[in-house]
Amino acid sequence: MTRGAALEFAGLGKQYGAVTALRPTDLTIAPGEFFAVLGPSGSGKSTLLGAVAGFVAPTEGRVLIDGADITGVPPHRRNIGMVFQNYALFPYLTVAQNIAFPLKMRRLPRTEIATRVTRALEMVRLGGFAERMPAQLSGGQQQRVALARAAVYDPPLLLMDEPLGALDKNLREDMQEELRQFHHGVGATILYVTHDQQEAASMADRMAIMNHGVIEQIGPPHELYERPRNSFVARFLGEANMFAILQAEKLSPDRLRLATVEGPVVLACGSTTGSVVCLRPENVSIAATPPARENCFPGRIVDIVHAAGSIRYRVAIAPGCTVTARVTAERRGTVLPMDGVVHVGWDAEDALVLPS
Amino acid sequence: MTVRAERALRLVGRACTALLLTLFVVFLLAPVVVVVLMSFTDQLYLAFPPTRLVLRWYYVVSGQQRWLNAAWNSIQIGTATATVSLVLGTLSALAVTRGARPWLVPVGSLIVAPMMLPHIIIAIGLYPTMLDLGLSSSYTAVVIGHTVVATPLVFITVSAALRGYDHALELAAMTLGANAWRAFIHVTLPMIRSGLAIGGILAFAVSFDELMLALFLASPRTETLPRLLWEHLAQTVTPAIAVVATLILAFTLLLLLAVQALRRRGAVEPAA
Repeated sequence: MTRGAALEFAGLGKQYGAVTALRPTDLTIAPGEFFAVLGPSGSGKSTLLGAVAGFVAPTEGRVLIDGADITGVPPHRRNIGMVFQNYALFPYLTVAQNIAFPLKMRRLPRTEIATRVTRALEMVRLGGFAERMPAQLSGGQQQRVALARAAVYDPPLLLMDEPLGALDKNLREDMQEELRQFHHGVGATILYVTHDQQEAASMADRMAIMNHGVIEQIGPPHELYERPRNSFVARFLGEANMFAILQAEKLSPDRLRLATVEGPVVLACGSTTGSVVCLRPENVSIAATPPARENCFPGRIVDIVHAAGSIRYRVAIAPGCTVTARVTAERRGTVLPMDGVVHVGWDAEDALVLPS
Repeated sequence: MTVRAERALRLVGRACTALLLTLFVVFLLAPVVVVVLMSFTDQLYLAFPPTRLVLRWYYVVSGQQRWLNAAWNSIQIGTATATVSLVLGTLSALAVTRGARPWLVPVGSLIVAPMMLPHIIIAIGLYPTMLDLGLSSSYTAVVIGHTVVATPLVFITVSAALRGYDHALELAAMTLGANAWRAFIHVTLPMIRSGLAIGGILAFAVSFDELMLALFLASPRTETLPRLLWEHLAQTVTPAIAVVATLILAFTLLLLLAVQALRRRGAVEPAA
């Protein structure tokens, strides 16, 4: 098992002419950490990854691996493993030859290459597939070959660029499980880039949310979900009801009364300087009679969505203002009717006041 | 309209289509058929239709050193042209498709331009240049001339091959420890090999069939088959011309078949 490498970005920035792909960014990733970079396309996450791989020459700042500056080192001398979105397997080589490629480039003796390839194939449970061509494998199998090829030379750092993006949903979830186990098995540091928040949250130890070339927030997935620093992070991770704040009034040290653009006046915790109130759908209670919550509104159900394991109600509580409530579908009997008059409610602690 | 009338009309339409198609094929193939048939004549002059089909003039041509020399010249010049065009065409295709610089797009068009240009214009430009360089009437001069018109073909076939696969393959090779040169040898080359083969054959064929540049740039010592053919047409019109034309035709046809076979393989390869 390899020891993972520490990865550090020191003021790393990239300009393409007048376009800023990445504003000067500082970030430290611990040895052995599974770190995900999450963001919409064009947020700078691929630039960050490219700078580590050596495909993107930064306009400023440095990339350090275990304290050593690798900014100017060409890709082939960085000893980093990388898994690409479309696997990038060599179509004219067999599975075994694909995995042997990095070992051949390192001019290892033939017997050693054979041993290592066999071991790598067993690690990704593709023992009988050595002589197949990549096109004869399923997407998931190809992805495992790509993993084996990137890890066969024990790189201390693995880069993954949307590696599950080309797989269908069920397979993607299986592969997430497999990637986590793979990470435990190899011990390398993983820098994982994706735009899929569920994927990042289910695997990463920590993650960074990027937008417009800036890291908006860094932290463990649950922390980012529960304590988003701004409305972009709140909206990007999971669902959120958002109200724009018109006027804030301090009632007590920990209670605010907020007049919102959408209409309702709500009680919340936080600072008076925020501009939006964010409310997670799972924190909204919905019932035929008013629930015992600090914020309570009567309304009418305008939409019902049955998802796996939960039901989502959209409730109109004022003209042009709806609140989404998510209820775990424990008992099938409690489904409320469409157009039914109901009450939604939540406590002040459930509502987060955030800067836009 | 009755069913019978409709059926009759459809029959007439089909007959017209068949007739048109036949005329079209005859129109396209007639010159070829005439030349091939004339090559088997037993007369002393070009005659059509031939009275008997014999190999008399094939023996005559195979015994004349000048024709053999010209054929050997054509093969040498064609091979050299294909080689130089492959190198230049591949390098420029790599630069234009992988370079990702906006100013490379017009460069790509410039590289293809000699293909559209009348060869005589290129010849007029090259002739004094070759004189100045002291290369006139040399093999080098003909090869340079032919390379100008053959490189676009390699450029086009190799560019298509390069666009046909994900650039991430080369990036992957680099992260796996291959420097730029080894990434080219181990990844790019295997991925573009059918494009290279097709481009090389087409470049050879262009050189092998080219007359105008050979007229300007070759000498009696370096004359090619098309050039010698031209001279014979202007001076002594014997069935030898038809024989050589038929042989060139057969050879070119072989090259085209090779290209077709490679195309089919190239089309199957990425999926397999």
